[in-house]
This record gives sequence, structure tokens and C-alpha cells, in this order.
Amino acid sequence: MIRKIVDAPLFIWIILALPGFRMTNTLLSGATGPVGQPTEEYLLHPSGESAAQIMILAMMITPFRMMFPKNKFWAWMLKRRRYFGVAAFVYAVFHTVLYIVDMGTVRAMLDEFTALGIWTGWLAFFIFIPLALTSNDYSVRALGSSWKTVHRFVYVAAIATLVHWIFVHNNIGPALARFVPLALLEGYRIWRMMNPKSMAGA
Amino acid sequence: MKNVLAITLVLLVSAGAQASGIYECDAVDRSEWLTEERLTQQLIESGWQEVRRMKPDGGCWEVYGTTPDGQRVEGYFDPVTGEQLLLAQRGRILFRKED
Repeated sequence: MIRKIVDAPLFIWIILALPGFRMTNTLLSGATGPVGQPTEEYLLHPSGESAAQIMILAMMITPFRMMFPKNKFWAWMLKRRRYFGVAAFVYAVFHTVLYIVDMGTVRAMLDEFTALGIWTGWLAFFIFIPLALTSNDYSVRALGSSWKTVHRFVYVAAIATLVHWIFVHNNIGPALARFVPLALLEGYRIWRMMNPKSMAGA
Repeated sequence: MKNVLAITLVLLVSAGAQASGIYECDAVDRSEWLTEERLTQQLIESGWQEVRRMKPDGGCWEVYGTTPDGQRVEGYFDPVTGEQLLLAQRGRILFRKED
């Protein structure tokens, strides 16, 4: 029974939508931030952070699978990885819409487009679009082996997101705290690829 | 690989340190500070399109708003004179007073 619930697509969708429920609630109530930010500005950070966190989680699945090949949780996660990617994209869309509303004019957006903290955000967003559009069974079949190549662009999006986060907030700590675990896992993955023999002990 | 990771980290940390728009002002008793209303008025009179909010940071007034040129910025101002000390747009330094 529990197994059935946990394995249902709706279950993972609800989990991935949880941060969105809170944000929708804030949006509808029109609540302002702790220092008086208007709602759209107040929600900018949490929406972007949710997108980044879910993307990071999706990217962690494969290295964790390598580390714990028999673990059922990571096997379960791997089957649902595309859901994580699509959810990250949905939060990124919400984040981008809030930014556009907050800025108000195209002129203001263009003016800061070349700031390192801004164009990196747009870059990550535009990489996310084709990745989200091809996150379905049909695209996986149609693209064949090139699907992986296309989706490897998530690494570029991840680095762009990290730079975006650091420079928009003028603060390196919170962004690094989210990305360092991923970097360590990727380091582990590369190390494993270069030392295939060390698998024997695993 | 370890070297690559180490270099990446060093680069990121130094980039972050540079990006930090923190500006230090001399410590002055709060009673001598310009009030929020006064500084807002001063900025609007000098052409600022909007003053969203401000908070004390590093002994300065840190102001979030839109400059006369329509740039969304974070600015540091001398709390007593209201002199502009630093302007940053999403981490890009537009102006920094040389001391």
C-alpha cells in the first residue's frame, strides 16, 4: 500500500510542488517581506533557490548511485530524475517571471543584462528550456544517444547558476554551501572514472 | 583533479571577495545619523527614481533603489552627510569613492 503511494507519479509531484504551495500562498496573500519588500521581490530568492536546489538534487543522483549501487532510495530517485529537472525548470520560470515583474521595464533589464550576476542567470534559464522540453519519453527515444549530450549542458547551467547566486547577493557563503556537496560528488565520480579498478572494494 | 577543484575554489572565493559590495563607514553615534526620511528625500531630490528601502550596514546607510539613470542598485551612503560612497548593480561596482 505504502509502496504503491510512494511509487505513484502524483507522490513525487506533490513533494516537488511543496515549496511552490508556500510561494503561491504568499503570492495570493500579497504578503510583504521582513524588510518590507514587495511580494514579487520577496519571492525572488525562494523561487530561485528552489530551482537551484532541485537541479542540484537531480545532479547528485548518479554519483550517489555509484557510491551506493544497492541502495533502493537512489534507484527510486534515478527513475524520477526527469521530474526533478522539470520541477527545477518550473521554479526557474516562476523566478524569471517575478524578476521581470519586479524590474518593470525592458530598459531596466537590458541595462543590467551585462552584469555578471544577471547574464549568468539568463544563461542558466535558456539552457533549462531545451532540457525541460526534452524531458519526456518521446524525446528520449527520438534523440537516442544525443539525448545525453544535450542534457550534459546542465553542468554549464549549474556553474552559471552558482555565479548568478554569488553575484546577485554579493555573498559567496550560502551559494557555495549548496554547490560544494555537488562539486565533491562530481569529484568522486571523476575519480571513479579515472580509477575503474578501485570498484573492486565497493 | 584535486588541483582543478582547488583552483576552482580559490577562484570562486576570490571572485566572491571582490564582488562583496560591503563598504565600511566610520562609527558615528546613531543620534547623528540622517533619518531614513531625510536621506530618502535627499536622494529623490537628486533625481533618484525610487528608494525602496534602506538598512544600516557596515556603519553606512545601505539603500536599495533606482538611480536617475534607471539602474536598480544597492548604494552605500555616509550616514551623516548622505554622501554617495558606493553603487553596485547586481554585484557590478558602478561607483566607489576612493579614500
